[in-house]
Amino acid sequence: MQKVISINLNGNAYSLDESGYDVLREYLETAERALATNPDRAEILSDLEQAIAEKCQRFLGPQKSVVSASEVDQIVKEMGPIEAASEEDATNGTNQNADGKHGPHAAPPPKRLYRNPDGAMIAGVCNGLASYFGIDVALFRIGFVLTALISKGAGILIYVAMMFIVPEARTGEERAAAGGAPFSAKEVIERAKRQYDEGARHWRRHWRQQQRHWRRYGWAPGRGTGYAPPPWTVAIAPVFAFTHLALFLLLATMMISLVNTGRILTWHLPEDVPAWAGVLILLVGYQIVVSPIRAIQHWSWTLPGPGQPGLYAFWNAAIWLTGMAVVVWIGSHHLPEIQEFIRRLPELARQFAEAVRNLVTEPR
Amino acid sequence: MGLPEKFASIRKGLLEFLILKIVAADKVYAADILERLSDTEFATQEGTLYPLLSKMRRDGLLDYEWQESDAGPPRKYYELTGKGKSQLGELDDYWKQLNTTVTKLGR
Repeated sequence: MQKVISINLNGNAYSLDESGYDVLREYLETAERALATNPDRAEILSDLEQAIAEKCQRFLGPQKSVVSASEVDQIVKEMGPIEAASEEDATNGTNQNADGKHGPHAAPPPKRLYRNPDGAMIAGVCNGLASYFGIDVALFRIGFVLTALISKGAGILIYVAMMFIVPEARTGEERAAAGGAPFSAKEVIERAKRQYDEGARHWRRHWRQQQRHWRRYGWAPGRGTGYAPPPWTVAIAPVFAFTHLALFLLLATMMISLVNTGRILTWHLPEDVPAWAGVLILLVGYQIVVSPIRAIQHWSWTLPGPGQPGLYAFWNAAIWLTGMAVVVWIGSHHLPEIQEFIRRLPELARQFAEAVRNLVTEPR
Repeated sequence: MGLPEKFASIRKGLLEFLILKIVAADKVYAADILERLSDTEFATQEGTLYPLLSKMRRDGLLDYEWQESDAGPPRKYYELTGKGKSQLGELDDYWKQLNTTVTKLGR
């Protein structure tokens, strides 16, 4: 349910959804700034209002009295940015830009990266990225989840960092800009500094606790416990890396067949189990199967004494990355199954999000 | 850079000429002009057209008169001034000259 706002466009009243109103006001304010030096400013603005009014009329009928937010978006898109009509205006505009104000060419609100809390699942990072790049939000969510799984959690850090760095879109103006110019490095640094002071105290405390824990127990069983892995684990570290990769490819094959045909290789999923649940089960199963391999890998990297743990970690990462890159490249170029898989993913994620949302909003 | 981008500035420069042509053919209001242009390579939006129309009027090429419309408030109908007509003639000639040059030069 949205609040409705009545506006006067050149003498006629129109009702708009509140968020639509914000977008339209932003458009007209930007137009006004763009025409700041134009002698016919008032007249052009009233003509623009008239044109907007006529476009609103198109969406209204006997059964429909309110122009929705998405319709306003379309109207603003149709109207297009205000462009200077003469050399003189254009030069003024450039000077204005230098002053940091909006010139004629800055007429559409500049695109900025925001976190968008509308329809967010956690903090709106993916939502914001999606509107910034104009890509379906589900793809970003899957991307983050996959990155988090593949990187063994490092992906979550990226999300958390973005939660602090990227500001939340609070006003309509900001939400309008969320869909629209890259945000500069300077701004990022300033914002990060500010937010560091505001909210980082908690994280600092958490970090110190974690460090104490690491000092006491170490990253892996190999260190701190005085329990060194046998040397053979080091010698065959690449074997583990390959096994790991092979298992991952098996997972990928199963995943693709599940998403595309509803079967895991030849085994049919029961009727009442949705495809996304199958995907989750596969991922969890995979984690369980590879965890011993992963533990041995970690173990051999942290081997005290002879050997260069860094080198094994490097080999492992190199084998992994190369393998993944080759597979993904070949897959997305030559295998229709993989193209099909990528095409189906967003729908699956949407169903999953729906199920989670139902679970959260309707507790039984 | 795609083909359309290569000629972006040329299309932009020709827009005024085309508006003069459209207005010369018959009395139109802004939405008519946009409609005529919409199916061509010169598709234009209100945000560009309105400032351009007001500039052309300031330059004395166009004028408008208010006319009642059956749907909604009165509309501005544009027509060419004397200066507009003579400029259209000159532009037409120049355009033909440009065309001949483009055709004749090189291959």
